[in-house]
This record gives sequence, C-alpha cells and structure tokens, in this order.
Amino acid sequence: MERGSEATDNRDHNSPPRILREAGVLALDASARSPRHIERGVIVFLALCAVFFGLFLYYPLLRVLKGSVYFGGRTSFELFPLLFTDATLRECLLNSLKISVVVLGLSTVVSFPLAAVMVKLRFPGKALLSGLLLVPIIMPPFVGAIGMRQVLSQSGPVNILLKSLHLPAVDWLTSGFGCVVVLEALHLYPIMYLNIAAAWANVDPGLEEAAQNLGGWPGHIFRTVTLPLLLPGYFAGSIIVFIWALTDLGTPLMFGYRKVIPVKIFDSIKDINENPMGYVLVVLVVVITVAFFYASRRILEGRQYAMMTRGHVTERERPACGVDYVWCYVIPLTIVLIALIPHASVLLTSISKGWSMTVLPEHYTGEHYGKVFSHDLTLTAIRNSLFYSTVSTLADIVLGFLIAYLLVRKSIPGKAVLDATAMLPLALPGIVLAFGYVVCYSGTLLDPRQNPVPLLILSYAVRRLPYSVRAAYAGFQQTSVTLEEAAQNLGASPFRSLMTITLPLISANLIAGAILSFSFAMLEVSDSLILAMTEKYYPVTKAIYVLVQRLGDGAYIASALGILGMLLLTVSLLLAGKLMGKKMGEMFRV
Amino acid sequence: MLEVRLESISKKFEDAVAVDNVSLEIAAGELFFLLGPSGCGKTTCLRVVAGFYTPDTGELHFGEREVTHLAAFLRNTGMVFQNYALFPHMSVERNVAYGLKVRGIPSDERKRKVQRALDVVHMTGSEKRLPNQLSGGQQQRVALARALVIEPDVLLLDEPLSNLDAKLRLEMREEIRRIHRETGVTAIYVTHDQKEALSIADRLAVMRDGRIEQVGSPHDVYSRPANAFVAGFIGETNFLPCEAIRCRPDEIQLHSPWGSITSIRPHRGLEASQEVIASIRPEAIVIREDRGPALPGEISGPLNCLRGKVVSVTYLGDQVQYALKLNPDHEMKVTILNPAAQSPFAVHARVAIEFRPEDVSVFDVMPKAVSNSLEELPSYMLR
Repeated sequence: MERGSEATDNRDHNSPPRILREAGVLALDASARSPRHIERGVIVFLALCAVFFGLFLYYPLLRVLKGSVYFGGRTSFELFPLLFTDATLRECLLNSLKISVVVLGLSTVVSFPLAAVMVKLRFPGKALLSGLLLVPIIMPPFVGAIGMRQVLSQSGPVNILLKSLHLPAVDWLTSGFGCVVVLEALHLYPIMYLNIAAAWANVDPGLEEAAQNLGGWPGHIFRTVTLPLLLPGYFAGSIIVFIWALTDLGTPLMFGYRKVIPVKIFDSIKDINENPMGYVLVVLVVVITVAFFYASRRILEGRQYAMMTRGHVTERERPACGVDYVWCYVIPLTIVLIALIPHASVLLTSISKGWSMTVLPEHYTGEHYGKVFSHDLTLTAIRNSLFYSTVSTLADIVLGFLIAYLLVRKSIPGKAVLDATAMLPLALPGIVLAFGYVVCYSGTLLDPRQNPVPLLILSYAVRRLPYSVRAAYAGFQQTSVTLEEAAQNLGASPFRSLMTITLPLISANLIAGAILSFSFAMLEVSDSLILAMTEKYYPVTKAIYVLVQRLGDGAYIASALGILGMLLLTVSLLLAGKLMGKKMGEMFRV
Repeated sequence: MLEVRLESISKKFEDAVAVDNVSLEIAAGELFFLLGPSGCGKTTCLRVVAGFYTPDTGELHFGEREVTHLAAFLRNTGMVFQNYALFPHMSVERNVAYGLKVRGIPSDERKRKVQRALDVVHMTGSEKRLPNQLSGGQQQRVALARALVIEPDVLLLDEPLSNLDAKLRLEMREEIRRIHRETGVTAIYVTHDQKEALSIADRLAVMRDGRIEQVGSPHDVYSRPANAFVAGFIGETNFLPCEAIRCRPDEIQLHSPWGSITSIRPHRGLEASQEVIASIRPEAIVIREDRGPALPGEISGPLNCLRGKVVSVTYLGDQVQYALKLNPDHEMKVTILNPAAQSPFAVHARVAIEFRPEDVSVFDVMPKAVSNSLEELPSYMLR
C-alpha cells in the first residue's frame, strides 16, 4: 500500500520511479531483455538452494509429520490424544509449558528495568556493562548446570554456608524445576533485553516530551506512549525466549529433570522404529512453535510503527545524577553477578582440587586443563568441534552472502519463499531438526550411527544460517547499488563488481555473522547430543555431557572444557558486537 | 569519440511510462544536454545509454554499432553519478585506476594514465586520500577523472552538480566545459537546471513526461521555444491567454481581456478564433508611466501596449524586477536590465507596458493530460 502512494508521488525524485528500483525490480537488468529476465547463474543457485533446503530442512520436517500419523502400515491420528490422556506425557507437557512460562516471566521482569537504565542513562562504565550483560546468552545453560550442581549439592558451598550460620541445609537439587527455570532465565534474558532495548532506542524521545508537555505524569506516559511502542520488540523477544525454553534439552538433562518434552524426544530416538511416540512429540513441539509465531505475527500486525519525526532534537540519553547511580549500577550489576554465578562456579570447579565441604575450594590446580589437552575424549572433541564449526560457518558465509544478495538486489520469482526459508531455522528448535535428520537419514549414506559428521555440519549450518543472512542483508541494504553500477560502467562484469566493490564493503557484517554462527555452532547442544552417536565423533558439548555422567574427576574436566568453550565464545561475542554495533539486537529478532 | 543515436526508445516501469518513443542524434564530440523537470525521463534515457536499463522498444547505436542489448560493462561509457558513487574503501588513486585495472592495463601505464586524469581535473596530490576525506567538489572531480580515464566513447553525466553549493556549482560548470573541450569526448549531460544547460550546452533536448519537446541550440530553444511548456521551463516568461483573431503565416492578431496584441513570429499552424497563449519574456517588456487612456491609434501601432499597476518592486542592482497587476486581474513580470538610468517606479504606480510584436510567441493551449507535471504553469493553460 505504501508502494502505491509513493509511486504516484515520485515526481520529487529522479526518474525512473525510485520505488521500483528500491523494490529491486529494475536494479541492474543490464544484460536483460526484459526486467524479469534472470541470469543462468541465479537459476542454478536457486535450484541448488531448493535441493539443499528441500533435503535438509523441509524433508525432515515432512518426514516427522508423516511418521506421527503413519505407522504400522496405516494412517491414524490415534496417538495424539495420548498426549493428554497418558498421565506421564501430560505431566511432561505441563512441565515443559510451566518452564517456558516461568522463564518468560522471569526474563521479562529482569529485562524491562535493565533496558530502561541502559537506554535512558549515560554513566561511566556503561559500554563494559552492556557487553557483560550479553555474555550469558552464549554461555550454554547446560554448562552452567555443572556449576550449579556443584554449588547447590548436599555438601556444596551454599549448604556449608547455611550450616556455618546454624541454619538447616536444604536439598536444592531435588527441585529440578527450580534449577532449570533459573538457569534458563539467566541464559535467555539477554535476548529479551536486546529486543526491548532496540525497540526503546527507536522510540523518539520527542514523543515522550510531547506527552509530558500535554501533562502526562511519567508512569502514565510509560503506559500510554512508550510501552505500546515497545510491544513489538517485546513480543519478538518473547517468542524466542518461550520457544528456546520449551525446547532446551541440555539443562533438564543435566539436572536429571527428565519429565519434559525435549528429554522424552531424546529418549525416544533409541527405539524410534518400534515406538512412534517420538514423532508425535516432535510434531507437538512444531505445532506449539508455529502457533506462537503465528499468534505473534497477528498481534504485531499493524503494530510496526515507523517513527515519523526527522532528526531528534533532544538526546535520548541523559547523564546519570544522584539516585540514578543506584539504579544504573545496582540493576545491571546484580543481574550480571547472578547470571554469572553458575559460570563462576564452573570456573572454580575447573581449577579446584576436590572441592567439597568448604565454601570455596581449598586447593587449586591446573591439572584439569592439562587433562583436557591430553585426554583422548576431550582432545578429539575439541578438534571435532573446531572442524564442524569452521566448515558449517564457511558454508553459512557463502550461502548467507548469496541469498542476501538475491533478496536485496535481484528480482527473482519466489523471493518471499526464499526469505522465509532462510529465516525458518531461527524458529525451528534444534531438537526437531536433529530428530528429523535421524529418522530421515538412518540407513542411508548419511547415517549418523555410522558417521555423523556430514549431518552434524549440515545441522549446524542450517540452524545458524539466519544469522549470516541477516548480517549480509543489512550490509547490502547499507551499500548503495550505484557503487556496483559505477563499477560496471567502468567495465567490470556484474560478478567482478560484486566481488571487488560490495564484498569488501560488507565484510564487517559478514564477519560478525560468521562469528555468531561459529560460536553458536561450537556450543550447539541438542543437535550434538542427538546426532553424535559414537565417541570418535563427539563435539565438545557431547563430551561435556558424557564426562559429567562419569564419576571421579569427570565433572572437573568437563568444567575445564566448558570454561575453554565459554572463553572462546566471550571473545567472539565481543568481537561480533564491535563489528555490528547497534545492529546486534536485530540478530535475535524474528 | 562516437556519435550516439537513440531510435524510438521507449521504457515502461510496471505501468508508468518513463521514456516514450524518444529519438535523438548526438553528434560526435558534442556536449549534449537532456533537460527537464523531475520525473520527465531524462535519467532513464541516460541509464538506457549506460546500459543499466534495456529499452522495451527502440534501438541504441554508438556510431555504426547497435548496442541496445549490450551489457553495461561492455559499453565503454564513462558515467558520473549524481552521488558520485566513489568506492568508499578505495583511495582516490585506486578509484580512478579501477576501470583501467578491469581492462588489464599494465601497472606502469595505469599509473601514468591515472596521473594524467587527475591532472586534468586538478586533483594531483590527493592520490592516497579516501573519498570521505574529500570535499564535495573534490569528490566530483575524482568521479570525473574516474569516468574520463578509461577514455570512454561517451561520457555520461547524471546531474553531476546537484549536490554542490551554488558557488561551487558555477565553478564546476566551467570546469566541465573546459574538460569537455580538452578531451573532445561525446558527452550527455542530464540536469533540471536550465542555467547549466543554457550556459555550456552545444545542443540540448527539453523533455517532459518521457517525450522530447524540443531539440536545438540554447539560443534556439530560448528564443524560439516550440511550445508553451518549453517557453515556461526555459527562462521566465509571462503567459497571456488570448483568442486569435487573424492568422497569417507571419503575423497573428490576438484579442485579450487586457487589449489587443500583435505577434509577428512564425507559429505552428494556428487558426483564427482559436484559443491560444501568448508568451512574452519579462526582459522584452519596457515599462513607462501611464499617460492616460489609450489613444485610438496606439493599439495598431508598432508596439503592443497594456496597462497595469505596480504590485511589488525587487531591486537587484543590475536589474529591477516588477510584478504588475493588469486589469482584469492578471499578474505580469517585468525585468528592466541596467536600470541605473531610470529611477524605479513605486508600488501602486499606474504604468503602461510595451513590447515588440517580434517578442510575442504564440502557442496552442496545452492539453491537460500532458501538462499535469507542471505545477509551475498557471491553471488557465490547462484545458
């Protein structure tokens, strides 16, 4: 609708109708006989994309759908009612939903004050704090769980502390639910915070001033002006938090809280040929995911407000003064500290020698790290992870660059489908994809029981593709198409123009996207736990999981391995944040 | 140096016709202007020549060669973009060298050519700087050097001065003329600024709504506009709606509410009792004190004479601009050049204005359909 109004009004611009060029309809149809002519290379690439997404995204999904209603040689929906009639399954479903709701609530409560302080106030150390606030997002709760188990165990530091204060010790870990919820909330709040803060930063402060000028008091203004403008950002964050909490496999596994949907799916893989219930559970997850995304789209429809004012007269941030200092340090620091407790205890565990019966470890040692680098299991795992992540990231860069190029610069049929397909994995729980891969490719050349490497790499690549597409997309949008035209005018072929002009200009975006893809791949949990079935092919996450199960020094070595992984991720995220600047929030939006 | 020929070129975007059956012949070595209001299709024409758009119909020739469907990067046209499109990640030197590198010119020769190009645009000494370290005028010069260094068959300039301030615009205008003269390249220059076109064009085409209204030298187009649109777009003019009384090939008698008007200019097949528009340039009018009602012989005399009242006076030193109000209500602009000899008339003064029959152009009334892009024309011109 906007297109129509602008097209009639394009007298202000140069001919031809600029809107057409922006829509990509006309851009660079240099060698074309008609505006819709498509080069052969593009057709080939689109065909390859169709095969790739068909085999490794849509086929597994469809196969799972089919498996849930077709078994024993006939079509039947009789398994679905079991979800609600079978007592165990009902309990699992309820537990999972409860986890998601509580995690969503907790992260909401944490994120709003945090966003308020970080968007509105300017104070020393803000840059450092806003970096620290993002750290938990890449710390897998699954690794934090190791630390949490240590801290809260019967003879762990918390209980020792309680005893020394002559208070009764509590058996914290019996409530798996509480532990899971807290860890996941601490892991997922940055997504919520990033989305709210990005939306808030986009609200023209002039609007709030206008409301003040009209006589609104601060609380009222927040409720009637600011909050409605934040809601799109809030919903976008909520969806991800809810779905991720619902489908997280690693954390409940670590706490032995096994009566949840993801663990049930994990367990069902072993006997998937005899018991089709696993299919049904995966379909349930897909249905819930789709329902939530659909609902949020409906809610968000017509709620995407563009700010109409030009240039902000006033600054959004004001310097902190007086009581502000309490808020601007207390809120973020408290959150950061709490969020980092599990990870700090992982760190302590990794350098302690038999940490038990004391508040802090009594003896420190570096031998666990030594073991990480000498132990066969860990060494292979590190090598494997580096290899899988590197290959999948390279694939993501190339795919992301080309897909974004087509989306921004070309007029191709089925553009909307390509766009949606490339973004779909962001909404698709890893556990669904991994499950689909196992049922699709068992007994084929790609059988994960034989050699899971191709499927692991593929699943990493598919799952993290949205980040590199987004990053490259932003880059293409920022880079004027006239630069490529100028290069062609000077005699460079379209391909050469793309490679010598646009590629270097958007390399920062590509690198940022690559860093995110890489770091998430390094600590990918559900795909790894499900797909890596033999020790030889374990990635880091699966090795940690196996080590923790082991008695003796398993937990210590697992901690050391976890710390190394987190270190790598922290550095990566800081780098990506530097490269992407304020666009970081957009990477985690739907 | 090549001649460029557009033959019946048309280009449609979805449903909007951007260029409508345009034919042009641009001589080798000519500095040719495409002039017209925003949205008239001039940039589309230029982009067709550059190869960024393929025309729906028609042919494009560079000299003997037909290039209608040749890819943009094979055409050897040097283009200066409106926003210059300098590659922000390359130094001035690398920007200018880009086209040579693409052509596989060896590096020592490349260096020499880049130096010479930078020399032509007076930008030697800035080789290592990045585009964002240059001023607007400097960026313009680099863009020009980059387009010239490849020794293009045709130089294309897309509103190259529109991002510069007024003073720089004047300076760069002269620069472009000088560089064109030195290189002798065939150049097509797109602009909406009539002063740019009048001052340096060899020839120009006035465009409106995708069509060519008139092609000619600046002098032709200014002094003998083909229609009311061209008269109104190039330079300032006064339009008076009239009725043609008597039409001879070399003389038209007009009747208007403000008095009779005679034109002794060639016209295009106008007929008696037809509604027409008379156009009189403000500087063709002299103004004098009104000495009372018209004498019987005055109307048929050698001069046209109308009466009015001064509404406003703008004194500019080298000229005085008057806005007059005729009776019945109609505004008339008058420019008196070199006004030093005469003290200005005061506001409200009753005056008579006189203009020669050879300064009156007479046009057909414009059909409404093609004139809706021209808010600047008074509504009575639209039927």
